[in-house]
Amino acid sequence: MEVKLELIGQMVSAVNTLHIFPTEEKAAEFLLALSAGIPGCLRAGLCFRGSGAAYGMACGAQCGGCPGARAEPGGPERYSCALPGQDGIRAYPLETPAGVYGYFVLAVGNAAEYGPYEPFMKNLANSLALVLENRRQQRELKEAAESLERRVRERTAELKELAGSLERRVADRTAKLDEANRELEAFSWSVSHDLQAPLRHAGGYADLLAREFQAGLPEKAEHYMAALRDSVRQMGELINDLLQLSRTGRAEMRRSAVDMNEVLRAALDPLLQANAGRRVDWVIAKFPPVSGDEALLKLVWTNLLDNALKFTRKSPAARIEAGFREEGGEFVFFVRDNGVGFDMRYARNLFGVFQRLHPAGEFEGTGIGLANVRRIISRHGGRTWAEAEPEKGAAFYFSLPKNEQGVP
Amino acid sequence: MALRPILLAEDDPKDAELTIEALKGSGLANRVVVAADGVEALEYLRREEKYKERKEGYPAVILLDIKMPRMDGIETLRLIRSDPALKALPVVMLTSSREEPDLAKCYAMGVNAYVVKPVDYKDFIDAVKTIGIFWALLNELPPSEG
Repeated sequence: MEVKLELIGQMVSAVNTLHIFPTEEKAAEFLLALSAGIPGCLRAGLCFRGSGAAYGMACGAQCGGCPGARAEPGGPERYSCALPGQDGIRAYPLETPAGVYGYFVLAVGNAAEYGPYEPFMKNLANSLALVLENRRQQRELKEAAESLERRVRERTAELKELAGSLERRVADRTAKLDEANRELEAFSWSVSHDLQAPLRHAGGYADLLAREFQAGLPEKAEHYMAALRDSVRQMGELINDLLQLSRTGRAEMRRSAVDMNEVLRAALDPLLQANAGRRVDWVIAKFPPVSGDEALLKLVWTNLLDNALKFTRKSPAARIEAGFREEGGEFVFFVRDNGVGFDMRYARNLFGVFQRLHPAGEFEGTGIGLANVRRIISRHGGRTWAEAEPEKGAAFYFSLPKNEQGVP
Repeated sequence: MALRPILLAEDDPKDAELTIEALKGSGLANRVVVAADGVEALEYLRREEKYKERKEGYPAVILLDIKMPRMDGIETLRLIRSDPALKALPVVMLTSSREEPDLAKCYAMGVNAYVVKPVDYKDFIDAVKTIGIFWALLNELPPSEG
């Protein structure tokens, strides 16, 4: 029997153009139409595994009503075709590396007439499987790309939103900080002017009273007056120191390469003048240059050296050492004295405001100096700590990060 | 010849009284004219309003509190320095804080000195003495082209 090669050619080229069909259903319809021309063939079609309601089935039925359909696990709508063994039905598996994709099914009315086409149809099924698998892969790729694109778009939008919200929050916080700073500024102003004025008046009138009526005042009254003036002076110092502390917290840092030797000298000279009668054995190291705010660092040395002078006042042979050492990424500077020292058990709040370890009557001071030191050093990215022993002396340390150095 | 007066612009009566006492305490015998703010100080200097009949000449020195109602010390200083008739008068600013942010501005505008009103009254007398002796005892104005 003669094989209609022309028909086979048509079918092959039809399969090769399958990729232009938008869906498998359309491909099935097309094949169905073509197969009508195959001798001995009644119908043709594609039956996909698990596709549920089949289209263009060779048997002309739908899977749901088909005696050859086996329900598959996963739902009543999923079937696999058990028709291959049935008479008059040829089902050629569409095999792909991922498994059987479905079947190319033909309902054969005349087996003898159809017989010579059998090998072609098998080949056709293989080609079909390849084309369909290609389509599937392409579709998956496209979907993956689209989903990726969608996710990128979504994430970009989310990021934009996040960045915007962050920006808003930063702006918000900055505004709040500015506001707080302005309030603090106003507060400092009010402290310096409005709080100091009545204090000044109290001191002034007490002084006038003492000057103009001294002759008639009993000794006790003079004592009261002296106490009054002393308290006024002390309150004045407290206010000034607090103002200073608030300033070191707010003032803009003016960073530059700083010669610590000069800064220490600038801090020490006025102290030496103020303590001209004192004999102190000074040991002062040669310091490396650092990067920082010169005025603030001078204040640190002033506070520490003034403390050392103060607490060695009663030492018969006062010795004060200003030195440094390198520790990892830091320079550690210190001021060590052999003064009265203190008990480390009480040193926890040493760097807090108004913390004093000695009675005010014994050593003067407002208890703000070390708080100032800590604030300045922490603004430079460093740390502050102390070591001491009663009657043996104290050492105050501060570190400055080396990478903050203004030198190569 | 009578000593020329000292003009004190100060809104706080207690500060004014203490300043006057400090001036006296420092040995200055000049009369002190107190103006409650910058506006009144300028009225005095320009013989306006209640000072129309002012007999005495320009003050030996003008002391200006920085913070005053109506017109503060800075603005008063600016107007004094921009008035050809007044600009040569010595002006000393009184401030309650060394941290006064406007002090630099005062110097830029040609103030002659400033005094921080200290809590310790003795310091204040010393400060007033220093500035007072410098200007208030002079009966001549500094050279002026005005």
